[in-house]
Amino acid sequence: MLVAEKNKATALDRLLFGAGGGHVPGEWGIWVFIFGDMTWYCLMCVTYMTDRVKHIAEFNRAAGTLHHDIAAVNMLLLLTSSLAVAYAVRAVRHGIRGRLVSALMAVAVTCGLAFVVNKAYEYQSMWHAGYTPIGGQAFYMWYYILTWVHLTHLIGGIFVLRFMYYVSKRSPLEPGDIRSMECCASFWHAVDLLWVILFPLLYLVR
Amino acid sequence: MLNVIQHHKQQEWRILASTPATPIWFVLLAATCYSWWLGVGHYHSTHLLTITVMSIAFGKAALIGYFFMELREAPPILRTIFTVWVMVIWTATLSVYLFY
Repeated sequence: MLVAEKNKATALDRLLFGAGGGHVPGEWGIWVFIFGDMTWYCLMCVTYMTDRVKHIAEFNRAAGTLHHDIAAVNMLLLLTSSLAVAYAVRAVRHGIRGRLVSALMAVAVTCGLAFVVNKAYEYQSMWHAGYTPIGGQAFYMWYYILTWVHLTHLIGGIFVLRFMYYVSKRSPLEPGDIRSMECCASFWHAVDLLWVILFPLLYLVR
Repeated sequence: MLNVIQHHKQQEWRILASTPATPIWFVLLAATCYSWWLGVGHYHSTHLLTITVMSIAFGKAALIGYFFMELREAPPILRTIFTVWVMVIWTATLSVYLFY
């Protein structure tokens, strides 16, 4: 009976965690945070969609006034930044240290900062054209809320990358340090993933 | 000496680039440019455009999860939660757009 119970538990373990165990990037805790964070953000996006279908003509007209090019360039910047972060994690796992990892982290942070600069220009330009969140048009209220919440995540993410850079400099690098770097990288990829959904939702959907 | 250093650096880059994340990055860039090209210049509601760009977006989200976040090699439960999450949000977004 006991042996049967034990085998059952092992089978369940295999089902849930894989035969080889699988590698959890970072810690389980960071995934609880990431899924929670992405879920409430996406619920906001679905709520935006319900408002959008109610005022479809108004939202289409307003979406046409946005800076699509800036948003698309920002998408390319975040994808590049994510690749640099993925490379940095791969580098430390393979024992590659020094200037290469620093350069990869610098690329990631620079892309993040370029996103912030582009976004600041976009906000300034929209504001001067009279498209403000308090102008009475629901689309612009949604635009500012969704992009602002994403931007706060991104700015937080830049500090997370700064911490990741600091950890990558530790010598010797312990397994716990690599896990910390994986946690940081996963958060940064989540910021990228949210922009992947937000970009078409706000700028391209008609 | 210089050649040895150069060879060493090339080897390091080869190690870094030899991950599926590298070709996936090109796919993500191409998908972004395609969505960008599709979406610009439309001012009227078109279901086909919306379904296409949102499906591309959730496909990109899945690729980021599997290859950048490394969920492809994660325990099945984590990978399954992520896959279900992407499909639920994709379905919810398009269902609201089409049927609400």
